[in-house]
Amino acid sequence: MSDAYTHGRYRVTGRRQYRGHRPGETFEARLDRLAEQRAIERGDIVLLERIEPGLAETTYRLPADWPRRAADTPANPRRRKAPLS
Amino acid sequence: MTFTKKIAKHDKVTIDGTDMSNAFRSFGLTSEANEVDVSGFSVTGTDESLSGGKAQGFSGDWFLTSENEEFLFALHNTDAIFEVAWQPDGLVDSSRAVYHANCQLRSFSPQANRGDPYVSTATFSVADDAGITTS
Repeated sequence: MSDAYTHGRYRVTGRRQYRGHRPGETFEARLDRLAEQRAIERGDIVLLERIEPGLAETTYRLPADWPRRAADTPANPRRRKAPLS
Repeated sequence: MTFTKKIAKHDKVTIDGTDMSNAFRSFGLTSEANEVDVSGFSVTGTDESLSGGKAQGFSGDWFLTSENEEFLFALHNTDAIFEVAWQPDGLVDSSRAVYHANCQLRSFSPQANRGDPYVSTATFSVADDAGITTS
């Protein structure tokens, strides 16, 4: 993920809406790092939790016929010749 | 076709993600292309011109309160590039078009006139080649 962005869960503080979220609401968003810093400094939001988006290995399974390695998939599969009529 | 005419009272102004609608009493955008003369010799002698580079931005009159001053001065003083969005009548009609762009606040000149409300003008200049877009 680019260092220019950061992902977290935030709560809107103060008296103004932030990105469409009302004061008191909690939201999760991927924000520009500098925009996040400015919003926190002026008290519009507080960071509740920094999130690192990702998939745990145990939460998904590939299809049964998924090639284990790229080398196992032939680039030009041999075609069967049509039988002579 | 019916054109619904309205009085401007419910515009939505968002600066750097924060709803600053109530801080402004006027807001709008400008988009002006330079006129480039491309006139050639002709029978009629009529001038010809094409559109050159385009200057775009937003501007509005804002109320000088301590929080508004702090908010805008921080954006100006740090040369920050931030999103400005203007949605005419947006506080009551979310279907209206939103005009938005990444801008800078290059000048900050609040003034006070004795007997008048504390109001000043802010001009936001577009800071990237995407310009003003609508959604």
